[in-house]
Amino acid sequence: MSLKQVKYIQIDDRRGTLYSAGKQSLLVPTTFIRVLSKTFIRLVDKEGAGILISKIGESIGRGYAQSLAAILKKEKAEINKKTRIQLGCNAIFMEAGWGRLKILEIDLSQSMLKVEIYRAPSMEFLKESRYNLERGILTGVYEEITGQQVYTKLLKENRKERCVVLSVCKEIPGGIEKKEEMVFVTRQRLEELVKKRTKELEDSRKALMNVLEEVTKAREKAEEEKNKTLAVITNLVDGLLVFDSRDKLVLINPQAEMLLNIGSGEVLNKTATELENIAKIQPVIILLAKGAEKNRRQELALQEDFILDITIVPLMKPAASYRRQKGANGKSGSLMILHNISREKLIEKIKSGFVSLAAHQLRTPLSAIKWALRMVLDEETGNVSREQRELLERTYQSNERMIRLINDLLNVVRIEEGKTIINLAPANLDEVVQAMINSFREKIVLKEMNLKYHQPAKKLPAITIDREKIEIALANLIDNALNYTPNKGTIEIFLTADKQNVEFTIQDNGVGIPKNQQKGIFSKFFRGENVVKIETEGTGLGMFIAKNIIEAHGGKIWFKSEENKGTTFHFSLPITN
Amino acid sequence: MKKILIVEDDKFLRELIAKKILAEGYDAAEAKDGEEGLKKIEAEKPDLVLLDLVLPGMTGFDILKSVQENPLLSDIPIIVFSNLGQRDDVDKAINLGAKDFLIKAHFTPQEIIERIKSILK
Repeated sequence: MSLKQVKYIQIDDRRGTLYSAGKQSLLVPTTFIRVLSKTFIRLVDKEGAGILISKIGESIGRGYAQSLAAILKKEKAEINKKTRIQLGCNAIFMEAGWGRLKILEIDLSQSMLKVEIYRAPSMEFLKESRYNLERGILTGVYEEITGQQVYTKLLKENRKERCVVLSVCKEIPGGIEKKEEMVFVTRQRLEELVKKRTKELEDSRKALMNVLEEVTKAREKAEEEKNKTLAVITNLVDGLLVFDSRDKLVLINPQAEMLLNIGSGEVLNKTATELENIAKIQPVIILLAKGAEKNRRQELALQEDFILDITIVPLMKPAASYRRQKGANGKSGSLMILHNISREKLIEKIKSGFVSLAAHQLRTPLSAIKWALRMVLDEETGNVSREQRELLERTYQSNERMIRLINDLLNVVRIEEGKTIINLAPANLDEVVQAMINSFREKIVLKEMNLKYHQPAKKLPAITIDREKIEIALANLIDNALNYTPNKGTIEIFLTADKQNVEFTIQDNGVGIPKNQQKGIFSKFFRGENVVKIETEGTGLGMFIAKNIIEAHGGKIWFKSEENKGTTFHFSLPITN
Repeated sequence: MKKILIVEDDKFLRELIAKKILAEGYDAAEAKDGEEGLKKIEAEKPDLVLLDLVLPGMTGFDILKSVQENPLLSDIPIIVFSNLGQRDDVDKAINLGAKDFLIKAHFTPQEIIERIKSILK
């Protein structure tokens, strides 16, 4: 215990009168020096710092002060020797508002005050308190201790919170035993604290309720979303299989069960490898194993007349979420959509059959007309007059036109069926172009055309094409150049290649395509206004067919044309396709 | 005189081509459907057959198959002349032993005779 030497005692009766206890030295515990300030009885140390013992109640007044001073003065001789100063005063209060503690004794050795506790109406005592004075949190057990005499020492005080913490000790034989801590707080403050605490609890209860409510709402929403998704999946007209990142089947909808004729219990939660052993689902599962990062579509005939269109979609995690995980490829599973296209396939087959039959049926009478006219014209049945020949020749040409129209219609039907390319094989385009030019030899001679073919400088690499279809495209382009260039005109054909593409160019100095009509040139049944007048033949399907054929090969087709100057068509085909 | 059998269901076409064949100095036999055609191939052993594909009953493809499978007949050259003309049909006919495939509407009788001549040469 540290003691401070006090030089003299001043007693202030609050009316400004100072009673000095003289120049005696007095050792006083530093605890008191620190705590007891603003005093009427001041103990002043050598450095002149004042210390409070207590404030004297108004009722006691000067008399008490005098008597205390007298006591101190009278006993000054003994003070240094004694460890306990008996204060026979009536009542000494701690700071106003702290309640009443009648100081009975100052124990210098223990740095304790012996006090009797008075309970002021405005004060409360809380024992065994857990407190945090700084934060104003106060909990504890209220206990009636009024009237008890205890040894006490001030541990903490907080003026703002208007409370102090005292250690409360009991006298036991041979000393003082520390018993408990006691918070001494004004009732008003206590009420404030209780209110505050209640409000805090109420607030946190509300907050908790809100959180609960939000959680409930979120759960309900999630449930609703889940139900919605499930309803969509269940009622989807397509079959749906969902695999997780390890290719385990985690979802199968009723349509998929129906299409594959399998129960979910047989397949659910099994891996792709396990499923491959189930005959009914095996042909579908092996498609999954082909694995790719992109969407894939494939037709699968489970039976001759039962065809599924299967789309496999890899489910990718958002880029941001998997970049953090090392080694993850971002695939969180796969989706397999089974679409029953049996009916479409059947209709396609019927349509295809119908077109084929119709073509046959139309061609038969046209063949008969063609053959009969030809035989008459070739005078196999007798002489034909000049006038008759002219008529019959024109009839023959009309018939030829009809035959060509049917060919074109058949080609259009095949394009619309998606059967543009059937037989892909490597071919030398140079050879194909030459053969096509040769097939027009007769017409070139007849029209006295100057047709030049500029062969490629180097041997062209073989490209993979459907030769028959490319021939149709070439024939249409060459035929157009011949038809729409006046006699004795010039047609130039170029074939060039770079590393990626082979390019075919056909340039004529013919009638050209009017600027305002150039947009529609590749559409079905297009015919230039200028050419309809001069050339009544032509189905208007040639360029539509050519474009579809070139594009089906992954190529491009384009042109430049000026009316009465000529037209240049180009197409390019990729070398590696 | 070389005999050419025409298997064709359209009477007018059959008569036209028969007329042309006769005019070219060949003997012509006619059959109006598949059954009759096969019977005549077996009975008359023609030097060449002009065969339509779409026929009532037995089709041209069936005849090609029967002829191909019969060692006594498989040497008889057959020219398919049809109005089918898709690649699938052509391939099928050639695989079944047809010597040539002509789309009727694309050939004149004279051109057909030239094909016949080149095979009988």
